[in-house]
Amino acid sequence: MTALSLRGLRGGTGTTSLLAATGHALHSLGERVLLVDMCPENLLRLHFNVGANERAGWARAMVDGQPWQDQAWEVQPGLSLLPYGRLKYAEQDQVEQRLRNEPELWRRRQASLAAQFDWILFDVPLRLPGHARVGPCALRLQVIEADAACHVLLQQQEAHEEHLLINRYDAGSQLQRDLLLIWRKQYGERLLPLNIHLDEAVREALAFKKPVGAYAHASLAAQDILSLTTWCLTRRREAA
Amino acid sequence: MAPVSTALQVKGKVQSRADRADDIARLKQELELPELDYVDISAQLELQKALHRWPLLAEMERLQPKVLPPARKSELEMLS
Repeated sequence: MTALSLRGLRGGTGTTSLLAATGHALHSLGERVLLVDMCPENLLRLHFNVGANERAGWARAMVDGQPWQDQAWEVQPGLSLLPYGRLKYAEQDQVEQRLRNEPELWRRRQASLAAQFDWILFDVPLRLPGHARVGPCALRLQVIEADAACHVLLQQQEAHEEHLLINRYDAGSQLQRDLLLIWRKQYGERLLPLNIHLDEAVREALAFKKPVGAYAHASLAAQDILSLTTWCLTRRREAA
Repeated sequence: MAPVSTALQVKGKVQSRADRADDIARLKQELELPELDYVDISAQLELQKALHRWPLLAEMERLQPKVLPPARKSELEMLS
């Protein structure tokens, strides 16, 4: 099983939509995929038609003392989803504390799932170090947008381990083209050789409760996601 | 598992994207002169222009030079 994590460099970079779309694309290529929502916003489930009033999830189960394994949804054979669950702020703090105290928890959980899935995809939140401590991930991607805020944040970054994936790229923008040029020079191979283009179909897909590949297969973003998936599969072959 | 159609051919360790795309890198490889000090002036000018267009980007480059080589840095300071 290969583990992949996606994390935004800042809030609102479209990480959850990308993760949903990547999981769907990997599954469409015959891979067995589990998507895990590590974010208290608990939005990932909505890309897979789970009811908006559904409160269950692994973190909800942790607070309630229920087994986490029972919280997964099988979207289709070979495509499963483990939501975070609906929690109050105080309960989210409680989960964060538990995860900090038990840093090996997700490593163990991940190992126990290895036989059932080819891929496990984690949607990782910002600024919750306990929640971000998932098991070992062969592919770690940080989602950025080609704007000045991301440029400054990248320069301020202490760790440089994650790959960088540009989302919502608009080639019509002078600033974005300039940043792409600068970042290619500055970050080299750390920057993925593909960008996810700005595409209204991504926003519409969530409103339709679908990943973008299921909502608009021929859209630019869906095609970009297929390229991303090919990159992921290639990296897995290289690592093997 | 279904076969995946891909244009990418993986043969052992893959050449970096920059190496594949860059004729100069290829030439260095062919001539076995990896240390050849070749400066791609037009690429550097493009980078310089990109940095100059936006005051914040130019300021970041002055504070932490990452993109332009030192010779270009002084020109950047003159222009900004």
